[in-house]
Amino acid sequence: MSTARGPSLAIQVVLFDNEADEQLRLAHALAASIRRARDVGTLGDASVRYGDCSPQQCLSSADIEALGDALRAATSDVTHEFFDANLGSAGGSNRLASRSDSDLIWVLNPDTYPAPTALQQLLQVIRDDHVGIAEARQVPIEHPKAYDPITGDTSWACGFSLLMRRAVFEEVGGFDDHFFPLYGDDVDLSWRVRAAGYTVRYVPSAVVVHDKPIATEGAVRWTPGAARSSHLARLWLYRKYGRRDLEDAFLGAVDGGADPVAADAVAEFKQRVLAGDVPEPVGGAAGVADFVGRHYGPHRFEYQG
Amino acid sequence: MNDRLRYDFEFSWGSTYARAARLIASTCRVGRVLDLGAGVGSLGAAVETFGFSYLGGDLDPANVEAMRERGRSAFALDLLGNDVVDQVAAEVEQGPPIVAIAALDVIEHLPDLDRTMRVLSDVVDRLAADEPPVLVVSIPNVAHYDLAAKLLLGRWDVTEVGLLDSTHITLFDERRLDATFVGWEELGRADVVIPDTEQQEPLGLPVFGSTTLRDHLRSLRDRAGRHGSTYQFVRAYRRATAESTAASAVSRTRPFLSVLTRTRGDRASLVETLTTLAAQHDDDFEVRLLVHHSDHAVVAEVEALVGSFTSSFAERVYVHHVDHGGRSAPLNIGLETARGRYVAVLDDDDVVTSDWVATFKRLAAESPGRVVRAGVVAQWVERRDDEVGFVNVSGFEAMYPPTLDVIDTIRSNRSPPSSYAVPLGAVRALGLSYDDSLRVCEDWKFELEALRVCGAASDPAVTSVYRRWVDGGSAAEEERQTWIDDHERVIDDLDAAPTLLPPGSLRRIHRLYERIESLERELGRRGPDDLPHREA
Repeated sequence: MSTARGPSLAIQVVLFDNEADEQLRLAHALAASIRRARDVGTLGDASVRYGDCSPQQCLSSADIEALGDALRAATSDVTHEFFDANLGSAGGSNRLASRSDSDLIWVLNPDTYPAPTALQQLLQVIRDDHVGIAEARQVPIEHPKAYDPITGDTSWACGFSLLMRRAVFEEVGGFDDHFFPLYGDDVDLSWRVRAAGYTVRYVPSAVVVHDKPIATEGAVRWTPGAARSSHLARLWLYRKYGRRDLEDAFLGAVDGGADPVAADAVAEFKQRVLAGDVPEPVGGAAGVADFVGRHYGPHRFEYQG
Repeated sequence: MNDRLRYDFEFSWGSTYARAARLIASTCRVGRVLDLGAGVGSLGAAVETFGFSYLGGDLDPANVEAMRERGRSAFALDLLGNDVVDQVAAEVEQGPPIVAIAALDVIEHLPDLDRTMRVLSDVVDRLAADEPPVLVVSIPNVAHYDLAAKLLLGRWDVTEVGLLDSTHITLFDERRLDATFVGWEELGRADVVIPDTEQQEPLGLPVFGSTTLRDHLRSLRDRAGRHGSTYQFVRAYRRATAESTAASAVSRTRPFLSVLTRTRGDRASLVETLTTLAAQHDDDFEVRLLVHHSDHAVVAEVEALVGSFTSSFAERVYVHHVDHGGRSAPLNIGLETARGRYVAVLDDDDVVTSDWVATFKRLAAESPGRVVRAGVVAQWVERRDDEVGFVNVSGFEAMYPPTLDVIDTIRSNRSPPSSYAVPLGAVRALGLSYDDSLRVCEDWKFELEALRVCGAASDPAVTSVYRRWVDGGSAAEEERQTWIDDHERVIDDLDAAPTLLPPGSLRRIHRLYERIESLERELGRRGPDDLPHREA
């Protein structure tokens, strides 16, 4: 609900076995971001919604109270919900979105730390009605996908931190929870937003730290679990955007290769296809589904790994 | 030898007495000087040349008699007695006011330092007329190089007179002297400097003379601060005001790390750097944010930015305005103000992972006192004329060795500043600073100076990203010749003293020579029977 001072905002954090210290740090950072955005008059009411996908609730009631205390100077509207099921990143975000009616939704990974200026920068960009999603810059491992240096327009927004208008989120049907537990849901959402006629805009001045390791040789490494999710996400994206040619090529490469993680992802893909558990194809999206080599959208540079 | 003869030093203009007399003359109006533990009154002759009158008090009746024989006022005084203040007050009642009280070579002979200082304070307070008398003391310095060097060889040679006079009970270095005189304000000093003392006996010890060991130890001692050659501290004090005492008593807890961040106020990159610091898993650090800019408005903007962070971080960020000097000036301000146990440099165009501080802290716990070093990667950036001012144009490049090696570092700097932290104790003890006369390579010199004393402990895990500018940035602003010149200067400067190398270094050097010889043979510049290589 918007106010005279600016649009209302729900900040959504989906948890999965996260530690209390990490969440307290993030809560302090969010409080500073909210205060800053309010000070410059770009934000109205704000709330913070935590949703826990862990097998067992990862934060104690004392931890949750501490988060409320940390956020209190910025907002008293802080909720925590234990889902008692792993809904995945996409499913968890959808569930949290259904719990509020704010004008804007800021989806934020739990292992992030936004600069105090980040929200304000994102809000300035999302004011443009043509912008469906405003994406922050990930630090220290910036995502290497390309963007227009003048407008900031880009192929898709990385889901670690994206701000979008609720109306657009609902118009395109939110995240697709076929992408489970994570990866690919952000690419898919972005492309559907673009297919609906909006732009996805990268905001390099909006800095958000994402706590990711850098390998000794400078590579950005995937854990086996993350790699498996990434392979599966790729296959769903090929299927969803009608690129059977790329799907077949990928399946062929995995069949002929010796990558057990990829093979495992392919096995699950085939099983779910046989069971009819596949995402709905997106029509009329050929112009936005930028499959460029092994990347989604053109890239400015590449990390090893 | 009785005590009278033992301390009946002949007056000379370089003596402690002459120095003390000059100090009195420079800090007091002309009047009467009270000399406590006066011996035979050698100070009397010195102060009289400046127009002062003299009154000596001493325990030994023979000394009192000797002073009187020389025509000076004197009285018997036991500084360990119960009524020192009353006794002194009674003695000085007749005659002009006391303007200075001397306690030369006295304090170190008395057993209870706290009591001694109470007595001196009480005497000063009791004798205060229009203004309190100045207190002048002389005290031997046991942090003299000669004592430190001999102790390393297991020798502690007490002598009849000198630095380790057998009657010295309370021993001082400058830190203890300063601690003793908390509550006093130092007015002046005229220390006695003697590089070669009676402690250099017996002759031939390898820590004296012109040996390599002496040069190394002497260099260390000299870097460790003044007074390696100070034989006696000769200082003048007056009782301090309550305000100055309170100011000196302030103490604060020390964080593990002091982060020195230079900025010219480039807001976008500074936001990024500060956010990576605010996101640290371990918050046991402070930030010395060094705004190197002449414009106060820039400083105000930086302060406002810091204030926008959560208070638990912002209150650990100290903004310093540096409006002078070259690239080293802000860093030296940072070193002077840092309170951490370690100090690291993170410039405002570099970023760190969230375990940057925690990794340094773990390494420091595992290897206390060493330079600690973590893995670092480079990322190329290009300038942009937009709100951010730059854009990343490459992935990460592992262009620096994963661990820090002293011999490799002698050849060239292979550790961007964000990759290592130096113990502040070593910085302070060795007087390390960034050489502002160097246009480049100042960080390399600082790193080498610390390394060759502290050694290093490394973890290859990458914790920082060093930004390299494709248009050269600050590195390209300097001509290549400048870099070569300063590189040579650093080597020359460091080569003025011996270099200590960690275990394993001889083998490394041996292998380097073998490799050179092997390559020369391949090139036909060396025969199979030539003698081992010798550098020209």
